Amino acid sequence: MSGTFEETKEILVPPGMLSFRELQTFKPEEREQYIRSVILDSLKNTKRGVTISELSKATHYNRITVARHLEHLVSVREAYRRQRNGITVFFKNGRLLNESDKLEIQIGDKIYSYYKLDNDEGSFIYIQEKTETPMRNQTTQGGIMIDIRDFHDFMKGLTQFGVAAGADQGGKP
Amino acid sequence: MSQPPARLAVSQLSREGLAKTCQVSIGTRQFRTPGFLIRIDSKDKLELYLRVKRIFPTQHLSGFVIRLPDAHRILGPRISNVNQLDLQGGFVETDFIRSAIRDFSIFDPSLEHLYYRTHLRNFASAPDMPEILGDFAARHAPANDGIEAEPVDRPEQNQIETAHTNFWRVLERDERVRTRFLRDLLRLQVQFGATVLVPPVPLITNSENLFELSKTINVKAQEVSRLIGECAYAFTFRVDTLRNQAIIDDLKRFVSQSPARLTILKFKNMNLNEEEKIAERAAFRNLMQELDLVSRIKPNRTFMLLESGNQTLPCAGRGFDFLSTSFNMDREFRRRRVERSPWGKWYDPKYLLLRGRNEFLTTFRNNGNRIPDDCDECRVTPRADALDIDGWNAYVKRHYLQRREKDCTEIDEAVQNGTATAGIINRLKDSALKNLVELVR
Repeated sequence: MSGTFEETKEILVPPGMLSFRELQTFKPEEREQYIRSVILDSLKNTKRGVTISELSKATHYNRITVARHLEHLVSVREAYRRQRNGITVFFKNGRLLNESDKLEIQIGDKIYSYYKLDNDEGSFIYIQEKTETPMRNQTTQGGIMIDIRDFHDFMKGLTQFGVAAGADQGGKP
Repeated sequence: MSQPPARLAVSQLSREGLAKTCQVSIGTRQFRTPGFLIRIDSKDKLELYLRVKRIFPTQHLSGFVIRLPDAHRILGPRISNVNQLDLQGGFVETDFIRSAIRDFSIFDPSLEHLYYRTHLRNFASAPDMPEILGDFAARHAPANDGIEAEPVDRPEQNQIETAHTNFWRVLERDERVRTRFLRDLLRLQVQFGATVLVPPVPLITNSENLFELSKTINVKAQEVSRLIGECAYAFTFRVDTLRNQAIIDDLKRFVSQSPARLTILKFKNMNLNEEEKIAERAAFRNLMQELDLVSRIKPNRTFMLLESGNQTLPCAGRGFDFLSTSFNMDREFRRRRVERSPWGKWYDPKYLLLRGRNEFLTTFRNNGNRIPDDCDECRVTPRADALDIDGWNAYVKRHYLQRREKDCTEIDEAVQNGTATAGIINRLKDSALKNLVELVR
């Protein structure tokens, strides 16, 4: 086993990745989190993007499992997909150019992370809502990506709606 | 989507030959190297450590190492009091909480005890230990368990070695048992608040099979710990393994390719100051050079030597960024049936060895009733000769911590001034550890 990512038909999966048999010793929730984390790492390390079948073949995880996790990653904006010749290809969503492009604030038991991301489709403000698990790691509950060109209009709409909903008076209309 | 917890980051500050200083951070914790971690095996020693950290500003006394089977006994009551609230409803901030936030805490699974048959009762009695480990410990614990186990004859030794090999063979063959074993031990470390997790690896007794298994466990532990914390690579060797060129070469290769930012090595009962350890000294020196090379090529790599004993000073900053010893410099007194004095030993910073109280008193009187050291603890304890046994035992331990802090500070400054190599050679030449000059030269 080498120290760097192993290349399995061009899909880069983590070395020593746990097999499904090994994962059976994990609790179902931990197993899901682990698989998602491996899929995200594989996306991160395969710049050209991956398809469901490629990833399923490289990781030896069930195709349905891989598809489900990729869908989840897209729904929380960790990944995005593109159609190429009728095939859906998944990519890791952007990357931080530098540390100053990130801000994290805690409100109650929720953590909100703000990122400025750049990918092939442009520049985005990416907001994630996270909670901390008892094992000290953070779980992303959801996310939203706003095109940086639309940010002003987005904020205007949000403020307008927030005022109407009484958000500026603690939720009392 | 779960995100990985904080990862270790290393930035090199200065370098002089093989010696270097770094700033290591993980989350909000910052450590300056060379760093020293004290191995703690009782609540009282933890109390002493926390007192030193509270009273004296320390930069290089980075944290502590606790053997995993001892962790519940030492930390259990403290952890259960962590959520104590004051009258205003705020959390009561104690030395322990401050330490848990700032210090480098390592929980060593110390599975070499399965081979040496020492402390096995601690494994059997510690809560939350994996079943397979508890069963082995209960079955093989000698009647007189502890650090002064009875000497064993050859057939019995063979039997122990076979049982040890069989234990690890099960983990080698059954991937599910191995994963569960790793998960349980790594999670246990997280529960105790480990800063970096240590994989539970076997003692490599000059056997290539056990070395291969250690490599597998290290790689798998990285995966098992993916969502729970930063995990180091770890290897524990019997000291004679240093003479096995094939294993040491393989170790160098593996470490140079490893993705782990912290690699922890432990050579059991290593004392390279012994005259006859010529081959081991040469091999260890080569290993230090190789580790230095790795840290030059990949600047975000750090190395820790556990149970460094006499080698602490020559290794500090040279190949290893973090060192750890116990208060008694890792002497286990195994199989040695000698009566030990209840008075703790004083660490002599000039001769780099531990002195009994009577020896200390002679030196003290010859020095005009002054302690021959200027660490903070010695300055506030001018009449160490008048201390009662409890006061003395606490003083020698606090002095040991202060002295290690001072040694590391001196090395740090010397690296910046470009005089570290010459300085360490001079100190070793003037000490009782002259043979260790070969490690530095």
